[in-house]
Amino acid sequence: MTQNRANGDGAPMAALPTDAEILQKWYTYAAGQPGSIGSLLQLLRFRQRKSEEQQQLEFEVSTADFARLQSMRAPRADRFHSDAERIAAACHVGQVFRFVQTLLLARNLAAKGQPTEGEVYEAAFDASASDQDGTEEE
Amino acid sequence: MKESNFPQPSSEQLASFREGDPLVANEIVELVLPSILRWAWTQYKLLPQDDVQDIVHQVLAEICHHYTRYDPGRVLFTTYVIGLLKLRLADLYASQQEIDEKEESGPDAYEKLLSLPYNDSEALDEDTRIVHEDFFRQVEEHLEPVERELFQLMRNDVKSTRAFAAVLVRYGSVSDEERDVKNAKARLMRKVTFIGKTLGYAPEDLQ
Repeated sequence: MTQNRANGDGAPMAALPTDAEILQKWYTYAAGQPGSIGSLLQLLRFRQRKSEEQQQLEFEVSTADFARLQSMRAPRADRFHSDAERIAAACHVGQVFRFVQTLLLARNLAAKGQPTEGEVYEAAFDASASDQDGTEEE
Repeated sequence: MKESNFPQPSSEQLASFREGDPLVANEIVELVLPSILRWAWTQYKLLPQDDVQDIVHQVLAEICHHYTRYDPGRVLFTTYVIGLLKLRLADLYASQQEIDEKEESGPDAYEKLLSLPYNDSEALDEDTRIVHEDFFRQVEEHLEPVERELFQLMRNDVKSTRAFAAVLVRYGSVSDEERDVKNAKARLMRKVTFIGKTLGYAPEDLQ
């Protein structure tokens, strides 16, 4: 998975990573940045005491796509649903609705800060119902 | 705008990027990151690869975060990225150099440096010093910023190749520290000699 290179003397130097390896490291880095989907999902994992693997299974997404998905910046506030759905489609998420709801929950949690787990769940699903009525303010 | 050898985002991608579209931002990073990172590794061979990678990551993350700052009408996307990268990598290079010099010179080095007379000017008689100062001032007016900084180092009798390389890095890339510094110094000396002749100074005035 690496590309060898040579210096001027023809001696081998440290191997350069492939595009895939380079991008993999970027995904890991970007997922840890504030404002990324990874940081939102991490917040929720912490609150819900879930592992990354559990989330991945819930969304029905491959490991590679999950890494890519988490590296992306969170959906824009004024286009949250459409952005989230486009991201889900680009990353081949099986459970799109669940992913969008989870992201919404995480966003609310990040914005509001301190509510208990039960309250957060209710708030998210209330918000989702009002979204469908077109009454949510974002 | 200049052509580029790097892959460039389409105008549609750039328009969406400027609206903060997270999916398009990711597409653009995936498009440009591998080639830009390889370029940085090649240009900054003296820096640790992991450190260069960290800086590239930081710069791209910042660009994606502050997406409105990039104006596609002014420069190509990769030119913008590389412009920011050069500044950051020069800082990294300077930090690295400072660490290396501290390690090489030991704890007493700074005290010794402070005790050195500036430009050894006290050793010169007053007339010679005035001629030198006047000459240097006139020369500096004809030098580019990078040359001026190199010239200052030479006047201060700095011997460290790394100190010269750090200046070169701030103004561009350095692929071979020894060679690039040697060439820059030689070019500068030729230019200074030429300026001296043009201004009517004889070589013996500057001894």
